Amino acid sequence: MSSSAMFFDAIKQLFLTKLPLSRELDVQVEELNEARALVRMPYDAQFAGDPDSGALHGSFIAALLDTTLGMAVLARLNQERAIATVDLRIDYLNPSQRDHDLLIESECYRLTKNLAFGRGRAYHDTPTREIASAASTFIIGAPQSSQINLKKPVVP
Amino acid sequence: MILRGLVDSGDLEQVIATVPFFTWMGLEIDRARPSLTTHLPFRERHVGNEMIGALHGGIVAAFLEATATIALVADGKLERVPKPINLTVDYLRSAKTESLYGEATIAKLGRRVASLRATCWQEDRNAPVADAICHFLVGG
Repeated sequence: MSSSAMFFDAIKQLFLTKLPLSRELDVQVEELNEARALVRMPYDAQFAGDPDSGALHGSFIAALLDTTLGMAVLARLNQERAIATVDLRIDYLNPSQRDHDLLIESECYRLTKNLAFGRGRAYHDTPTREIASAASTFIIGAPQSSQINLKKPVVP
Repeated sequence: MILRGLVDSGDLEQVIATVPFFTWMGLEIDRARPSLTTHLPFRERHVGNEMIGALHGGIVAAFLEATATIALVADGKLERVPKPINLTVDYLRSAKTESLYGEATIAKLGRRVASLRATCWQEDRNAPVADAICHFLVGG
């Protein structure tokens, strides 16, 4: 396994095992690399916003977008760094549907010494029919404030 | 239909109980305060990263939007169940693994769009954890 692949795997394990929210969800990381993060979540009624339609609560989708945006930034950084969200903007474009998997896709499209800019979207089957879109800015911490230690792999 | 009736009644605890995600978060109204304040008692599921012991930024965002929704329902002038249009969160401080408190004000309640400002804090009301601007579709 290349060092990049090991790093992506460490981020994936961090997300799956150290984040209580993802432990409660039956979530799968479909793809994680410097280009994008793609996460799939099967429908779960406990995250609904509207008990009649079963549509997921918008702010729950916002929470998932925030998470995958962070993963995309870490993957793009390709080194051990802490990051903090400066701002997050979500647009609610379409309601989600009951019993459909939710796909959350994020990318870090600009990385500087101090900042990372991310964008993401949530959809069911058709990427062009977005349920929500997101844009966020992150500040990158100093190298010593790292949360991921590659020498000590994250144990599930 | 269930929500419609509750929004009309303005029963905030019932609105919370009816929205599954609000129940999952553990959202409450802090009745001990003079102005309408929401409360999110700390739960393990709110943690963003166990290694640094901070609340999940997404949970903070969700709490701010919920706070704005509650303020809008409490205002009692809604003609329909408010539909969120967008949410912008300004993260000011890292949130500790403690309770969050929130308050929202209606900047403008138009015929179709409502604009709200929400803020949340932990032990110090003057040290906000994050602020948000939320827009909702309320008519038309």
